[in-house]
Amino acid sequence: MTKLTAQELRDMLNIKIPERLAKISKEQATARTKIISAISDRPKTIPEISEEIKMPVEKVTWNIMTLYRYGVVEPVEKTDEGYYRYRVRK
Amino acid sequence: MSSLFSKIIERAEEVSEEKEFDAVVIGAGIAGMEASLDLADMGYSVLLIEKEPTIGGKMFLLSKVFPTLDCASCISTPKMAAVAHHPNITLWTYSEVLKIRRDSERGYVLRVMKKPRFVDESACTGCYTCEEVCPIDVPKELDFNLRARRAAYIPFDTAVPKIAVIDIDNCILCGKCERECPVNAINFLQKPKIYTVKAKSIIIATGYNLFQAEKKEQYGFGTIPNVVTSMQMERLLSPTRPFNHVLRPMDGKEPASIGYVLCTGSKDRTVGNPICSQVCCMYSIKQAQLILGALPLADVTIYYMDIRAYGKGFEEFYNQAQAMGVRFIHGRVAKVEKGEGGSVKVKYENIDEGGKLETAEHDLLVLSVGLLPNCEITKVFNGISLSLDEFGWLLSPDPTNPVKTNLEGVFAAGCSTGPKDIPDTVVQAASAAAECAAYLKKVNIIAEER
Ligand SMILES: Cc1cc2nc3c(=O)[nH]c(=O)nc-3n(C[C@H](O)[C@H](O)[C@H](O)COP(=O)(O)OP(=O)(O)OC[C@H]3O[C@@H](n4cnc5c(N)ncnc54)[C@H](O)[C@@H]3O)c2cc1C
Ligand code: SF4
Ligand code: SF4
Repeated sequence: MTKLTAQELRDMLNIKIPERLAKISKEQATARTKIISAISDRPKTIPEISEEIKMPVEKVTWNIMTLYRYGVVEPVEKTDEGYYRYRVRK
Repeated sequence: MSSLFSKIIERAEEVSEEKEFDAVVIGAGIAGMEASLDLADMGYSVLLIEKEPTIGGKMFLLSKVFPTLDCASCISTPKMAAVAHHPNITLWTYSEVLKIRRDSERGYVLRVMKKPRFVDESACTGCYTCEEVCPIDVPKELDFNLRARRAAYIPFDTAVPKIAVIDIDNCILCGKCERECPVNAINFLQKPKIYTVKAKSIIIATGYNLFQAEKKEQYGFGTIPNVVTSMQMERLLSPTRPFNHVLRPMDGKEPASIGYVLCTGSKDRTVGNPICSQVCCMYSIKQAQLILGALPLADVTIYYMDIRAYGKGFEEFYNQAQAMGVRFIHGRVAKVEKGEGGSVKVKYENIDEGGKLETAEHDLLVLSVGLLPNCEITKVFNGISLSLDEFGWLLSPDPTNPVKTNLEGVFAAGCSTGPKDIPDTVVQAASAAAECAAYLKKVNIIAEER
């Protein structure tokens, strides 16, 4: 297989990936997995997910909305308190 | 430490072939698009330069427009497409003007850098695969950071051109996008290209910057959750909104009570901007009406110093908002504090109650941020300078001709000369194009007589 240009650029400019980015990539993958598994049994609101996986509510909102825009989760119903419940899109 | 992008910029290649146009338009917001289309329709060749990966400026990010409540993207998207397809318009997005100098013979000579997208523009089909597989989330600037985009991304569903771009400073060069792209469009070896462009005339349409709400510390933007800017609210209300509904960014709750603080960063000497931003009263009244459309049971309160409803139909639009139940409180907000359960406490002086100090609580607080000059472009003029007014907006030396600048053959359009709404922006852009066309005709006649 021919070498990827991403690899060629790395080699050519001797690029070391900043720790910040490596950390973000790992954290994001973990956050998304946790959120998706939290709503895999039944739809939940953002505060319910936050409570269950012990993740700050702002962070859950950020991830849920990103997953929503990328078509991974969807809202199903609204509670009387004005929160939507989200589930994994089939 | 220098960024990867700056290392790549060092690898820029000069393109030897010179390009020539009748006019170069800098900035592809509604002003730049309108001016370019007008000139192109008159038969002039136009190079339209936009620094972002998509054209459209602020307008295509808006929800609807006051006072007609027409859908903003329904109006701007066809214009964006017309610009992209016009045979007399050459469009360079993701490009930067590095230098402009006067050339006695031929008008102006510009050095322009086309930044690499790391994507072959002619091959990319805008299929989103790269964005879907990319593992890096980055705050999405065009949604004012309300959600994430990826390091490989298409700026918007309605972007023009709809071509992916790689944010190399947030890329880990994992190669996933490159491996998955169905048409092999991704190429990390792309280099910036520097072009020499000759133009008989220039139109500056670089628009405005938004006031940075963090600067008004007492209003809590960035420190108190659920304090947002009016531009974030535009996104929340837009059909292409980042959330599934109008929701609080902290916890996704539907807000039952929403407050607006008008004149955030306008008519305010403490932040260095003593002038009125002209559009904040009306866009806030528009947003209040749209909120009541989306959340009919919500309470909306607008804290104002004075309401400037000066245009056609504006006063009626204001009255309509009052009739719909929007509360207007004549008062200056002094301080914003964090309340219980994500609410926001607003302490204000109620002028109509003899200056009484009162406190109110809202689920969401919107700061109606002002418009500030964006005249960075003046720095690239070499050996000549463009005049600015005392507030930093482009200045016309002739009060009877606001589209002329102090430089011959250089015209100004839209918010580059001062805050204005879309209809005024479009009128001024058409006027700049007409002045520019008259100038080109004169220049061409002189050239023929030689
Ligand atoms: C929250 C909010 C709501 C609003 N709602 C309304 C409304 O309902 N109705 C209404 O009439 N008006 C409204 N406005 C005002 C409206 O946004 C402006 O009238 C309009 O966008 C001005 O267009 P413009 O092309 O002059 O500037 P911009 O939209 O700012 O476009 C400027 C363009 O130039 C580009 N650019 C800047 N510098 C450079 C450079 N150096 N090189 C290349 N490109 C460059 C920018 O990237 C951008 O694409 C609102 C404004 C705000 C803040
Ligand atoms: S995967 Fe390839 S074709 Fe699809 S958007 Fe990305 S670069 Fe373009
Ligand atoms: S190479 Fe960069 S842009 Fe492409 S998938 Fe990996 S991190 Fe994303």
